[in-house]
Amino acid sequence: MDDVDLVRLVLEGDGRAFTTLVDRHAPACLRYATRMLGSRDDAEDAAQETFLRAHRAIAMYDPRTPLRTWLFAILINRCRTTLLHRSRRLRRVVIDNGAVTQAVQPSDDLALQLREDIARALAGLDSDQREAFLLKHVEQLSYDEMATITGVGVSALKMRVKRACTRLQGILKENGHGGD
Amino acid sequence: MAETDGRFPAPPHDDGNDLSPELRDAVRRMRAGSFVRADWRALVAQSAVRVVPARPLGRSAHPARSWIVATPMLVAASLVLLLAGGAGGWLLSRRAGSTPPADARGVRTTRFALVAPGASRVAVVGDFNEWNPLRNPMQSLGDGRTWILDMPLVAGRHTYAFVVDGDLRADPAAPRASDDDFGVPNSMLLVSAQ
Repeated sequence: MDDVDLVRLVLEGDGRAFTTLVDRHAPACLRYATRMLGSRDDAEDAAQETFLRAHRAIAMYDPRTPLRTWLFAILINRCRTTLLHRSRRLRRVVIDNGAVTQAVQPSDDLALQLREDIARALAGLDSDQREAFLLKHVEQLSYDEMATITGVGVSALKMRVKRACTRLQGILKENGHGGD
Repeated sequence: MAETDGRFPAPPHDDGNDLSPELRDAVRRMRAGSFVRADWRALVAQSAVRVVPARPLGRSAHPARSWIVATPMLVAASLVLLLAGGAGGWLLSRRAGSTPPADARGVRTTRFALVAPGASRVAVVGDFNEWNPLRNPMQSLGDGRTWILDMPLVAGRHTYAFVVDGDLRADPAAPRASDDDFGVPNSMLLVSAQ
């Protein structure tokens, strides 16, 4: 059953259909939010708020748009709001290495250092570059999708992704992960 | 997910921003399955069940009804007529100088009003009632168009909307919330503690 069918069932009052949608999309939402916010707790709050807002406004969902795109549009707003509130206190992303490391299922111990270095490098990016990089390369959205949900033009998004890649590759090299 | 060679294939829409092998490997690891806590999943599912979704726009259970969003002009005109007709008090929660004072806890009675000709059910939803349209139905003034509700709200910023026969609508006479979601109509209300 595809997302549109499930949305139809939600509108008819089927609570299990919404749980199915949560199961289908929560992993990507939590992955993005954890990387974006650098905190598992904040990520769960943002993702929870996203699903609740999506549920109450699900009648507004246009089936011509992939549900994931629609959910990410809400999630990105939640993450931006979280960062905005946080920036008033800290001005920097809080790096919770443990949470970020646990955001993905561990694959092998040898990769632990690389994951931590990546988490630190991501947290060091400007939030708009981090947002663009994660959407493009981790969530694999197209630039058109990214433009739709971020409200930023395609050219600006490409520049943000390019700058993020350059900076991340530089940080990886500095930490001994580069080839040279 | 099976990984065969440690090389990350370029996504189909990649525009040439080539990643170094190290960054490709890092991205591949970032894409690995995400962990979802069971109690978080249960919390989201339970919370959502308490919130009744609005019906689709344009597919109301009352298709013959031609409900329209009241323009600010219409709201103002209705306000003048009602006040002139002896309805008394204040209609819009933001009318200066007419709201009752906040109590010692900072709770203040706030009146919501909406002109919705032909509507049969109107409710207020917002962050103060978990966006539940069953919790705060509005009362019709009996003129077939004006709905009001007095609600005690704590001082501070609130986002809210009206649910008119199942459809979510922003308040046409209030500013839109700055964190308005993707197509979700939210309005903003500031309840003063003064």
